[in-house]
Amino acid sequence: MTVATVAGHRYEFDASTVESLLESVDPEPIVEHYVVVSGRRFPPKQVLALLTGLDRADFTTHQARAILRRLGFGVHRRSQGADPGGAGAPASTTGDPSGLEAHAGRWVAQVGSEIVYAADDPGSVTRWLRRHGRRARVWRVPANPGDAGSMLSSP
Amino acid sequence: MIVPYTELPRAAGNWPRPLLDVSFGDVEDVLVPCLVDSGAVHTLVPAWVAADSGVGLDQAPPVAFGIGGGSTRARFATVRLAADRYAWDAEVGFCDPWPYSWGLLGHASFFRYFTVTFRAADGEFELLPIAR
Repeated sequence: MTVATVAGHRYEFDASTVESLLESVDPEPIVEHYVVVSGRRFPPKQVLALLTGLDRADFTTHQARAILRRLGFGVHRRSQGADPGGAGAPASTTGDPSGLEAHAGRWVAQVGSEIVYAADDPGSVTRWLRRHGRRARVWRVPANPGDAGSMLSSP
Repeated sequence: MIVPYTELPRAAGNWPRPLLDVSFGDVEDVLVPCLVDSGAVHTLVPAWVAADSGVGLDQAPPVAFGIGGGSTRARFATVRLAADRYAWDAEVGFCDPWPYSWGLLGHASFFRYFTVTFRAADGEFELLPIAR
């Protein structure tokens, strides 16, 4: 449990509430800062606005980052370059430059080498793109040689 | 137009493929990666692309054929395709089910419009439109 005062209001937060609240929420595009919750990336202000019901103008990114960090979530900055994924994308743990390993078998929106969104079906991905005015490659990242049209796999 | 090969996850074989991002119909925000496949005759993509692009297939009879060790049914329609600054009209088969992570660009509706040079050693391919 974390207690914080935001815009003059006192709130009590806990990590499991944050996780369950965000289960059905689509991440917005990441501009610079993000927090990883249940393997997906969200703008910190989006999360704190959902938690508090406050307008995003009522608090700063710094406040949102600090509260979410105290709750135990990883908060990061895109420009640090350590994170190849984008909004909604599970954190890559493999270190592959494209970040594709973590998304094998999932539908993704990819811009350059960056995965900006991931979902379980193409319709969810295209709807997200249109909601946010983005343009991207949309595909299901191959999870096995069959997805890639090959019966053989590299040793 | 020079396009780098796309690297794949290790579980998918890890061998980079010549994929070209193509948009279909009037939709410009969704780019569908397609394998530049010199062994394919037709251009084939999964059926969700037609639904997303507003391509009407009601009048197109389904054609059954084998692909990827299984079978599928394709409905063909002539649509506008675009890749980077190039656009062309061609017949495309929209398939359900579809086994691959990408579409296929074949001779009848792709290679007849482009000269394609593969440079696998450099991990890239080059497209030059054929003057018509």
